[in-house]
Amino acid sequence: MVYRQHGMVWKSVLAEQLRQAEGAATVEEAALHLVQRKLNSLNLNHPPFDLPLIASAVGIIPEFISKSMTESGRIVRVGGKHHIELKNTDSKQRQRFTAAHEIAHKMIDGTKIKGTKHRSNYDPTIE
Amino acid sequence: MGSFILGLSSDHIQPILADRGYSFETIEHIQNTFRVSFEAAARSVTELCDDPASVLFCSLIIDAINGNSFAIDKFVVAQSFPFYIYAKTWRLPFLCLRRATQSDMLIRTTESWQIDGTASYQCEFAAKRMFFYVNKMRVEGVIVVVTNPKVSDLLK
Repeated sequence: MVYRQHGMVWKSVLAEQLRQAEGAATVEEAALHLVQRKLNSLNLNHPPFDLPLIASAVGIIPEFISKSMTESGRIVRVGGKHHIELKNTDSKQRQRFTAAHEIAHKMIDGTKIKGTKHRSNYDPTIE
Repeated sequence: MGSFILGLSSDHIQPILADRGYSFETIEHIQNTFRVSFEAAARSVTELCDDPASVLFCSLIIDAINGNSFAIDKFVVAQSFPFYIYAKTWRLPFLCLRRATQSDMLIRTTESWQIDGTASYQCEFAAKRMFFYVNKMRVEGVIVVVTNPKVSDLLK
């Protein structure tokens, strides 16, 4: 199944599972529900949102690591803890977007992440 | 979904659009308020706005033989925008592009945009020299917000 929302294509079994779990008409709506619920639980009502706080609420170490790397960012599990690594040459704003993207992975997957997830060829032209 | 985590969702953006209207300055306001890139702000605002609008990310192509020209690296377009835009369109004739490269200011022009030899639209352009990303590379180019397209001529 393929979803096209906001110019992006959402296509995966996980996306469909998310849509069904949230009882939403579209994957985008389901994603929004999931994020809003998390933000509400943290009393985050007005942007800019505190990404380290959101990260810690989904089980990610809130100190993001900026380092030399090819990808824009990735989430890694070291010693049972999840870390977000960000490309050190990217602008702060782009790093922030990448961090949000990685948090989204963890928010959807819960504790299922076993290996490394990264934002590299996902679509580098789109922020 | 990363956009939602940054607050770039309808419930936060629509009130700003209703209050300020769609413009280059509104996108910059969201960029600064939400602490996101201009591109992330532009995509969210443009996709949510009802006005016919688009944002072009343009770079200068150096060509010693045929002369330098501007090309569209990427773009974002509102649903109600009246014509198709193609990425990699080059030899853009817009005065705002040349003027923006020579200035740090926001350049405003009203210019004609001829589409596929079928129609010409009179559009309002707001252009500024800025950095953006193309294929993971940070490049300096000109970002152009296009608004208020009106058919100025139907070509035969």
